[in-house]
Order: sequence, then structure tokens, then C-alpha cells
Amino acid sequence: MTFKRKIAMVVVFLAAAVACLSVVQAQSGASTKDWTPLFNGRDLGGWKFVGKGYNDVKDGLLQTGVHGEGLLYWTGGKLGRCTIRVVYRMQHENDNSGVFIRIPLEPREDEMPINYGYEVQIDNHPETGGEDEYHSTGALYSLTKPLAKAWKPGPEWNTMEITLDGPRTVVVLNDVKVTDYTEGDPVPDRKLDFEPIRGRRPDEGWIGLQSESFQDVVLFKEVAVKSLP
Amino acid sequence: MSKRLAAHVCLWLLAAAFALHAQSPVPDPQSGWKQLFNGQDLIGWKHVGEGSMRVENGLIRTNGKGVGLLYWTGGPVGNCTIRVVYRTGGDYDHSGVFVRIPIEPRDVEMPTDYGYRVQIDNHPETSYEDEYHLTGALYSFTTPLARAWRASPEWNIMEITLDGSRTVVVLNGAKVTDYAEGDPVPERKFDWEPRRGRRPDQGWIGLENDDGKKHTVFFKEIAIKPSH
Repeated sequence: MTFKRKIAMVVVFLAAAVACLSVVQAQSGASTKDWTPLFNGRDLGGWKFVGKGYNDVKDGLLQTGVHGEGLLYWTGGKLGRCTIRVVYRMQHENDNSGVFIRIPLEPREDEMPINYGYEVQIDNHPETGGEDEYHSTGALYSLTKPLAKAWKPGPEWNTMEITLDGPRTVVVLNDVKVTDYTEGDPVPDRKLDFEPIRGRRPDEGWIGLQSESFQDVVLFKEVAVKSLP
Repeated sequence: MSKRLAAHVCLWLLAAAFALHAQSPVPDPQSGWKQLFNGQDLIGWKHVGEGSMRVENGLIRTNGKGVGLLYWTGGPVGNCTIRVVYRTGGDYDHSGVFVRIPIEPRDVEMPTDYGYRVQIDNHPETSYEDEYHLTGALYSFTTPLARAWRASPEWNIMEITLDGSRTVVVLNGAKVTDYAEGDPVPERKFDWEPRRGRRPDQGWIGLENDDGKKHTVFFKEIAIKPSH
């Protein structure tokens, strides 16, 4: 083999190696950004409603509330060490719903999820219902108060990202961190008898969307999940 | 040491040994039963929901208004027999023994919908309920195979065996329930009846307080024996 051919071989080898590396990098980059949609945009396949009413899909949007109270949960099982992304808007200027997380048992009704899981609240004006800031959008309902008012009123879209990192729950609303709570952090006593019973929540749990009442219509465009790296 | 003194010491030692034995929380090696209620107070138990329970003359008695649950804080149990010795205050008083509660209770609703209640109620017809709500039934799921209860003020011995996914209830020596997960059950008739669905092989246990001041039930013994 001539010296020139040797050089050429090395160059080709290096080029191939670089190409391989960049492909691997591109793939791993893609996989960490990979969101798995839990709502298919067409129907409620993979979801189940418990409670008094039902949910449906209209114009590609999952609508909560309009057909009565209850909880629509994802039947895929428990989630942990992940980020859940929810893109929603209120039908009116303000409506009430919530994203349930850390539900320890597959729900058969909508009470157990309240007392044994968390509800990340969606309600920009809790004061109209006589509730304080521990009950406003982005809070772990009644347990934390949002670090910022990052919500947009209806009918604007909001992007909520809920990260479950072991016992730590972080909520980012429209790119602003609004909740950062770790199990064991102090919480206020129950003020109202419909507030959740205190106590540790599990690291992994079932998730769901709340239907508060037929007057509270919140539309969801996307519900997706991504594993933590 | 005089003979008299020696005899005294021997008696004391015997008495002390007996007392230690009686109070011991470890299972009685002879019978295999472990007492969960110490006959004095509610150490090892916790009340959630409304009402309360209290210990009176060595007995646990239901008390107060509303529905509540006194659960054993020792954790989930399975593959064992639970023995409950109880009597009702009057003929129409009721309570129940919860089994197979999947997680530690914070209220009485979750145990109702995700666990079972072995019912204590000799006259469900007074609240418009049928035989699926009688003493010894898995409340609203099964009908008792026999009417084996003893009316107030007699004592009843209820033995509930959790054998994997099978639940057997023997009341005063007669088998009244033999249910395995997946056996057919009737649909819910009342909105206070439990949700249907599989119960876990192991679970927390507890005693129901159902408006206990009005419906008084006394418990003398709650014991557990692992299956072999």
C-alpha cells in the first residue's frame, strides 16, 4: 500500500466515523425530544371516563366539563420519571378543570384521585369561588401556591408541562415555572372540606383530566408524555 | 431462703411469666393467633372519616355520628385468617369488617370502592336492603350461604380467610361466604354500594363505624393467623 493510499484510507475511515457519530447523535437528540401523544386527536381511545357524565372530541379537541362532572383517565397505567405536556384553552374567559397525576390506583370514581393523588389546577380566578391563590392555575390544588401568574385567559392556548421526577413535581406553564414541590415539603392545613386529604403521594401514578361542571369547558389539543433522560 | 419465701418467689416468677406471655405482641406459639387489639387502648389502630371508636370495659365500641373507619396500622395482610369476636348493642345495630383495602386509608370512601366490607347487619330490610347486605356477606356482592348470626347480646365469632384471591367467611362455625375474584356479582343497586372490580390479594383491614352512637357494635377480639 502506498503512502497516499494509506492517507486516503485513514481519511475515509475518519469520515465514516464522523458520519456514524453524527447519526447516533441525531438519533439520541431526536429520542430525548420525542413526545408520545396520549390523545390521538380523533377519539377517546386509550381513555376512560369515571363519574356522572362523559367527555368527547369535537373538531379535534378533547372537551371536558360540558357533559357533566367526572374524571377522564388515561388507561395506559402509571407514569413517573417523565414530563406530561398538556396544551389547553378555556372556552370562556375563565373555566375550571385540572390535570390529575400520581393517582395510586386505577380510578373507579372521581373521589379517590383527589385524596390520594394531586390535581394540577386549571382555574385563573379561584376568588370567584371564594378560594385563595392555593387554588389557582398551576398550583397543586390547595397544597401549593403558584410561583408566578403565567396563565393566559380563554380562548388563548396554554402549554403546561408537568415533570414527575421521583417525589418532586415541577409545573411549567407557558415556559414559566409555577410549581416546584417535593414530597414532605410543608403544606397548609385543609381549609375547605372538599380539599384533598393530606399525605404522601406515590412516585408513579395514573393521570387524568378533570371535568368540573357542565359550565366549565376546557379544550385540550394535546396530551403527551416524554420520559426523563 | 425459707420454704415459704421460695414458694413466694416461685409464684411471683410464674405470675410474671404469665403476665409477660399475655401481653406479648408476638404470636402465641401454641395457637398461632396474634392479637391486634390489646384490650386496653387503640395503639396500632387509627381512625379516619367521621365518628370515632373508643375502648370501654376492655371492648372496642363504635361511637359518634357519621361513617368512619378504624384501621389497623400494621400494613396489608393476605394469606391469613382474621378472627373478630363481636356483639351488637341492639338487634338493628350494624358495622362491618373491611379487608383487601389496597392502600393505607385516609377516608372511608376509598376502602368501600377498592376493598371489601364483610357486613355486620342482621336486618338490612330496615334500610330497604336485601340479603346481599346481610351479616357475613361481602357487602352488596354476595348473599350469605347461611344465616349464622347470634342476636344481641350474644357474642359472635367471625373468621375471615384471605386465601390469595379467595375470601371465605365462617360465622359461628358455619361457612357464610366463599368468593373468588372474578366470580359473577350483581350490578350496583344503590349509589352507596361499592364500585365493582378486582380487589387485591393483600390489603389493609379495619372496622366500620356506621353512625356508631346509634348503631353500637362491640369488639372483644381482633386476631390474625397466617395460613400455612
